[in-house]
Amino acid sequence: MAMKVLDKASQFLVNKAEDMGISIGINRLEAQTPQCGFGQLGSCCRMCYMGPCRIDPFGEGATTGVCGASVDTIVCRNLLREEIGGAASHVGHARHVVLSFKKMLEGKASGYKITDRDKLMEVASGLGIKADGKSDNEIASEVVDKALEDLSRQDDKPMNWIKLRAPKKEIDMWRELGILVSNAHNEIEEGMHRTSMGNDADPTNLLLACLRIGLVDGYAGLHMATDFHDIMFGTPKPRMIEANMGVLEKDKVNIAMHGHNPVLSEKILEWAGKLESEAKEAGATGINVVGVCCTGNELTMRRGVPMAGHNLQSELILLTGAVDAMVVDMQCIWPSTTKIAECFDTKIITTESFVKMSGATHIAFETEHADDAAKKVVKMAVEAFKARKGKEVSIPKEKSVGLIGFSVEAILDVLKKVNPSYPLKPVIDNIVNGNIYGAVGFAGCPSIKLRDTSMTEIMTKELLKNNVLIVTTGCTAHICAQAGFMDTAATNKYCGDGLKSVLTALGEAAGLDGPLPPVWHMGSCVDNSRIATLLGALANKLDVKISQLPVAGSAPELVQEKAISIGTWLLALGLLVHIAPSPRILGSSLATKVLTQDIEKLTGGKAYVELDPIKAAAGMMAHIAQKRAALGI
Amino acid sequence: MKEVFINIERCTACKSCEIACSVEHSRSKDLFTAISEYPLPIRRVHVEKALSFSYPVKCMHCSDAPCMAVCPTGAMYRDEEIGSVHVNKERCMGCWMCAMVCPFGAITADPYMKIARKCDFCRKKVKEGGRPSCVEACPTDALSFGDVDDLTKRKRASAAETVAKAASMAKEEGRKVTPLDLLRIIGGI
Amino acid sequence: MKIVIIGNGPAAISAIEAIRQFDMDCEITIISKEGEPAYTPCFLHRYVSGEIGKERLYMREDDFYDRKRISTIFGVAVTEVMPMNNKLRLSDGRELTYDNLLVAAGSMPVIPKREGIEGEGVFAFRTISDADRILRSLKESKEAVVMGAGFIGLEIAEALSLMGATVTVVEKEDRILPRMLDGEIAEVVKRHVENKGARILTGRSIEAVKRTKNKIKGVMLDNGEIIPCGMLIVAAGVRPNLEMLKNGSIKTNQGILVDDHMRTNISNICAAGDIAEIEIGGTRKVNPIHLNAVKGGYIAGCNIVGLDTRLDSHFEDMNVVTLFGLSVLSLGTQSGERVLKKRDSKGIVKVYLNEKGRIQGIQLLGDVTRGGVYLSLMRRGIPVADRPYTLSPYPNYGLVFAGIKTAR
Repeated sequence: MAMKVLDKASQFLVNKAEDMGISIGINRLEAQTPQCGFGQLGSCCRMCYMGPCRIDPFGEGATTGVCGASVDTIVCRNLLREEIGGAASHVGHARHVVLSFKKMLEGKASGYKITDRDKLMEVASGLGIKADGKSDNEIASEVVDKALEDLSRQDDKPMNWIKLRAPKKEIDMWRELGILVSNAHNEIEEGMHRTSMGNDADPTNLLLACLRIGLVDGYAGLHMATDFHDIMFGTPKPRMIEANMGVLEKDKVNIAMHGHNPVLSEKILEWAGKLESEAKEAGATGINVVGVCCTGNELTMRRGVPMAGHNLQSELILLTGAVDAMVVDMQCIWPSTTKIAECFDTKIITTESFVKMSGATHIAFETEHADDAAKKVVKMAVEAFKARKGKEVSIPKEKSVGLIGFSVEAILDVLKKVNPSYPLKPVIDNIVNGNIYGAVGFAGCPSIKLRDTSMTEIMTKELLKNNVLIVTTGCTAHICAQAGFMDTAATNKYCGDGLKSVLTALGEAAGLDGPLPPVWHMGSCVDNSRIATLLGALANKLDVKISQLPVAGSAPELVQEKAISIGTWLLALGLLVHIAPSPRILGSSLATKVLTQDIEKLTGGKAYVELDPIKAAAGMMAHIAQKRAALGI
Repeated sequence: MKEVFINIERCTACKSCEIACSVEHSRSKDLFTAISEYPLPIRRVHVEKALSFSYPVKCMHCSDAPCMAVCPTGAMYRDEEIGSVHVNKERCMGCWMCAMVCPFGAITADPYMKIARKCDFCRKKVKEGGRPSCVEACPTDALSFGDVDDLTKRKRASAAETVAKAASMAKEEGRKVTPLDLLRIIGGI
Repeated sequence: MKIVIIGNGPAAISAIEAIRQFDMDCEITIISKEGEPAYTPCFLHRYVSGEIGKERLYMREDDFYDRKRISTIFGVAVTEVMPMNNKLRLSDGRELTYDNLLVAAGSMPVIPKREGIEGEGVFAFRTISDADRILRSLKESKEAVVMGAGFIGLEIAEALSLMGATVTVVEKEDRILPRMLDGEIAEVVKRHVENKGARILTGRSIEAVKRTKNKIKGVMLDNGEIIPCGMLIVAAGVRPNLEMLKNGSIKTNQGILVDDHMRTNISNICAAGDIAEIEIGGTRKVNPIHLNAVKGGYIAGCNIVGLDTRLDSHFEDMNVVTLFGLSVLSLGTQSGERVLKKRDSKGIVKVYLNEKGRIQGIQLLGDVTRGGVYLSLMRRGIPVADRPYTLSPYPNYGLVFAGIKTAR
């Protein structure tokens, strides 16, 4: 069996899996390969029971479904369904946080509090809530009402969170396109309705609906989640952290937090601290909470918790045998984890009523009883440690360091030290003079299909060499941290001279010994909102549309439906969105053309598929060059 | 000599073999590129439906191939190295005599050149030790590739198991094995 | 061992390949009255229309005879076979001995007796030299009449039309392709051919060829109509080429009588191809189709080298022809108790069934590529009457399988 070549730490554990005969994603992908061509092209329709219908891409077989749907209709309907899956995840996440916050305000969830009052006030004022004479709790509860309005209103007025977070020029553009959405739940329902058998068959109309769902995802999902996270748990600030699976410690109770929602992970972290003594009684030297996937990003951004691994490593980390409990909430949790955990003393603990797995222990995590549940979870981990104590573990030695925590607020804080009255000026000046040639946001997952090609790493190096500043979120941030790109030393190692000088100057201003790192960790996957906020602020200052900025987005290793809906939101914002592997649209030449070419005339954005990292970086550079030329810089 | 075996009971009509065959016979060998090639590649395996079964129909590379016998131009020939039957497109005139006698319906018309097209056994891959693309693509092993002897050996082993199961069943009930027991195990009744 | 083969068609080639598969040493001599290496007459019409060059007609590579170690005597006819002393007499006066003889001399066109039919301007259409003569004649006259609307007649009519000639086909039966098609399908094909520019008269016969001095001026039909023309192509069928057997020691009926091993009444003489009349299970049949020649030649070859091989059963009547881009395929007999028919975008399929619901005749028009599947259904005697989905121009092998399953 030809093994894919991965980073050292991953390879070490992949080898272990092979030795132990444990099936991991790589094996399962091989068993699934070659994958269905109709599926890859998006030309299989399962919307009704006259089907499944498949359209022959080679023209020898059927050209329409039983109902007469063309391949364009089928592909666009499937794409919209994928987007709805992504948007539903983000909106569900945001709603969960808002409702937790609401319970806290109502005094039903005493374990939580308002941590960042400034952020609360910023959000409240943005939403048009008058602060005069009201208590923090009263203001907060009005903010909650505004948020819930976006999930319930029936008056077709634009979503509050769009008005709060989207730049005005973009809002006007969306209004003109007729895609200015109002209520996330209505959109998700209508999208499902639209795509069920016998409804929307106009591919263009379906693609416009995709943009609508993109906006739902961006504002009722990402932005709303980020805002409430920050208010409840604090806005991230720069700090040094460690990353990679080497952060596990043999002699400590290792609790790996996996999933997305800080409402759970913050509590577990809190109780891990409180119950440290129990761990010591059990013979451990302490409790080591580490973060996996996006919950790892949330914890590291706010608390400096080590980033143990990205989504693909959620299996591998269990193979160390050193994880005592993996505590999960929602999204990106592989059902295989329980099977692997069975081979060790590891407990997999599910916490959400809609995310259960056979073989896992379920401890219902309700915000009302968050402390009880968190206590139970930590104690269970300690128990698991007792069983593991003294046994051989295989912790890879690899770990890297990084300076992370680049929330927009933190970035502005640094910039204010250079220019207190006009903090964005240094950035703008350096973009104009070309020291910063442009910026690219990397988001998304590690793809098992592209990981062995080091897709993200090679693209990053190519772009840094060409003075392109990189911001990143989600699991891609784990990849970058592990590759050392968040280490301040990376600036001298990888950046072109222009970017190097800017980062060095900023590092000095921030009071660091050296430069800022060249890849800025801006948070979890919902924190793509932070990137949009930064772009919006820049565009606003320059009085241009976001689509005119010399920037681009990339999901270099597409895995999740969520990446599709985020990507569409970015298309609506006017960004070039690089994606690999290709979304399932190639079966329709119409959808492919609209999304990769024609949409540019509407929003300024377009999708760009390229699987070769060097070529992809070059393509993005060309786009940035074009934008610079149009701006006359 | 290795051959492609078809197990009709395992075919789920997913058409993966069809797609893989088209891609194999494209210029780019890449699905995403192949779908926009001109001319489009022509597949040589066709998943057909009959009663409750589906069946990947392809050339069986018959040892006494009627298409070779009937071909008036000698365009149908056998590659003696791997035993496969091929169309020499320089010689084929598109008279469809081969189609007239092929019991599998495995000959297709090349719409561009008006000549016969058929499974070429992925000759290059097979000669390099690989498997035909349709076999590689089949997720259920409805298509498999190997020696007849190996296949029959597997069949014999499974037959032995069937008989053994029947025997133990009969033994438990304190009687002799009947053909009915065998049928029951195979699932015939 | 010295083997002599008379004839250089598919039966002869197939016999050579069979013999050489088992015996590379024996001496083989092939005698052909034509001067060409083996070629197929199937595409002569495409040669006439200029679509292909002569080289595409040859059945094997140039070095075939050398590689197979064959002595060739080309351009010489056999005038007499003398089985009593294992000898042949050739047209150049030579005599040749043999240990084993295969007569695969094929058939000759039938030229019916008509007033004025003897003389220049009247051609058969069977050999490369026929084709070359027609091409030469075409330079002088662009008006042609074809006698007979079998597939050979229609193919040459197509070729002449494509060469710019005005063509009239005269068929004495009530429809074209009378041995292949029933009236209905024949009518569809007829209209297609007429639309493409050839005139077809059915139910008419040519009574006389009108000449001025020696040149053809036209033909007169049985109704007195005169069709002016500069050439007449006779495609009125073929008969086995039995002249060399005039001394009567080899038994013949319509063709040379052979058993299922392709043996004649004389043990060291076989016959195969169009010339042979094969007797299997009491039925005799001259079957001038390519497949029969190839199989017959193969069986004869095997038996000559001592490998006991036989033909199980007669081949069905079968043919496929493409006229002006429209393919039509026929298998079996076009009559029966019941008729099933379906037409769709890919073409027409028409099936005749016997009283047991089994196929006895098939006609496909348009997409003929699944014809073999029907042949298989017919041979296996699988009842199809209760399977409406059978009726598609493209039935499939899964169907045959399912048929077997339920049939047993």
